Amino acid sequence: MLAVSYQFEFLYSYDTTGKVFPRLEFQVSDPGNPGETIDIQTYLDCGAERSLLNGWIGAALGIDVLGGKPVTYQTGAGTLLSAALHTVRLLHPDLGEFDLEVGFSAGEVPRNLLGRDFFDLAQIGFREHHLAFFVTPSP
Amino acid sequence: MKTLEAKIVDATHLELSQPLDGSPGQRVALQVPEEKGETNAIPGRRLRELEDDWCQSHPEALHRYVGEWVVIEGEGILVHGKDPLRLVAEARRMGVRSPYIFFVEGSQPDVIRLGL
Repeated sequence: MLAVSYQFEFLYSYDTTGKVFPRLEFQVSDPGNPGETIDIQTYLDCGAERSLLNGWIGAALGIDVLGGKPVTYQTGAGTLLSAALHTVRLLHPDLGEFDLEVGFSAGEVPRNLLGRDFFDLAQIGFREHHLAFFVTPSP
Repeated sequence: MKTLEAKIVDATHLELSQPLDGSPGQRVALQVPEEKGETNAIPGRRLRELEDDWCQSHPEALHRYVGEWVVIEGEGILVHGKDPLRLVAEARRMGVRSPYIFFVEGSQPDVIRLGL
């Protein structure tokens, strides 16, 4: 049997619809301008190839969002979303700091998603039955 | 009723400490300890725990702003509206260095959410 150990345990969080989801809150900044920060909610989504944040977050951090490499995200239902890639810094009180190239959406999205690019930086395990997830902040 | 000890051979086989005296086909009940789900992981701290706890205990306060963005600071809504950039700027003007902002989604029965 393979045994895996994790450093931190987090309980799922309630969203405003009254449902629970695996979510982490981060302070996000532009690594080139770390003075401007916003605290955001991010939903862990191992089905997403790359993380997606609201484009206005980039603008609020002083990033020229449209100046990033343009990419298209496709949802499970086939809907296409335009976005641009930029590197952001995510800061967490226990997990530390992550520099991640994320997509900033051209339009508004209700949720910021952390995809497999984040899962590449941290080991994450889920115990859905216990509404808990586990994180070790290293690959 | 008597109690027998049995050694677990593998997931589906037991080795009894003494033979059963019941006839073949008779059923016995096993009591096994329940998995408690304990782990060695440390409970992680959450950024904005105070705000999230307040949101969870005051859902009615958020329901008024379904479809809007809200900036929460401490135990209350600082600003709300449809334009998140304006809200962040407003919160910063009010002295919040790193505004905590999220979208208030409304609950709809029979709606199952995907990531996006």
